[in-house]
Amino acid sequence: MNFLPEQVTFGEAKINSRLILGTGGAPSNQVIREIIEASGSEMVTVAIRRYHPQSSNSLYKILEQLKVNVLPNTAGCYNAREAILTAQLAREALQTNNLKLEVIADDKTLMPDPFELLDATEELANLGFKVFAYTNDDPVIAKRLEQCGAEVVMPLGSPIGTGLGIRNPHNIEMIVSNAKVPIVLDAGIGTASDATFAMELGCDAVLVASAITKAKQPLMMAQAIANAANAGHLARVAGRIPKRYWAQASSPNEGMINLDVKPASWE
Amino acid sequence: MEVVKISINGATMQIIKDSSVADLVSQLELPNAGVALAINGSVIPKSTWASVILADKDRIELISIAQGG
Repeated sequence: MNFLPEQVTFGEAKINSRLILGTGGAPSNQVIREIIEASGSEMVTVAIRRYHPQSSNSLYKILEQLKVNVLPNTAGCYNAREAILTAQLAREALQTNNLKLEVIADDKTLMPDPFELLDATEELANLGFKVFAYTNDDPVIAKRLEQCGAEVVMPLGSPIGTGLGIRNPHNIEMIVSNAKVPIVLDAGIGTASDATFAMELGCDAVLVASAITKAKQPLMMAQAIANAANAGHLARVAGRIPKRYWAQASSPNEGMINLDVKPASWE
Repeated sequence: MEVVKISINGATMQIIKDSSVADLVSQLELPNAGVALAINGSVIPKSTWASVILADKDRIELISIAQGG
């Protein structure tokens, strides 16, 4: 029997793979195609940028051919106003209400500005967007985003592009246990085990870009992280055993060989 | 022939007066899907491209998708 993760709904998309692929940092659009095929990812993020005849068309065609769910983002936006206009352009270009909302505070941390993020989430939700809100690992902000209408809440494990993994697993666990919407771990994943850990903490998916696109072998890493995310999800559903302080043998004590005791009839 | 000056993604361009957004899009040979534009900060839905007339000094942002996390 081969267990597979059950289908999950994120905004307007239904997907099975628990890896959402970020396309940022790939050496070429052709590599993006190969990464998507190698990982089996069914949802990929893209940025919205000024039109460029060659590169824009090539990426659009690849994603259309592969029939993946395209999740546009508002990367690079520093306030709600910019993010809302970018979101509206994205919806017009891609005909989807799904939107990864990023409103960052500064370019050193690339961490979200929670005030602008909450404002933008509320306004975009009112405009009919399915907001996937990229946020800090703060359980209070995560809850507020849900209350403002976010469809998916996406806390960071560590800052974008650092590959530092999940710096505050307890916060991620609290966000998950308190949430009524799907939680996707976004940012910070450096390798396969980080993805597994995120899923074991109860996240519904992981969003990974740099760890795959900047790996020495992006295709192999894409497959590794996709499998790792699925494995972590299955482990979460299957249920880990409680932790103990002292050892506990799994083999029975009964039936051990005994070299010292002679049969009673011999006495 | 009278022309008006517009800017597209920061570059100035001249276009025949009373041209619509649809005229501009066809002149630029844009693809049918995967692009969108805003004029002076407001998104212009594709369904209205034929009826929106470009005015002098309109600032157009024309976007598509790019690699991004």
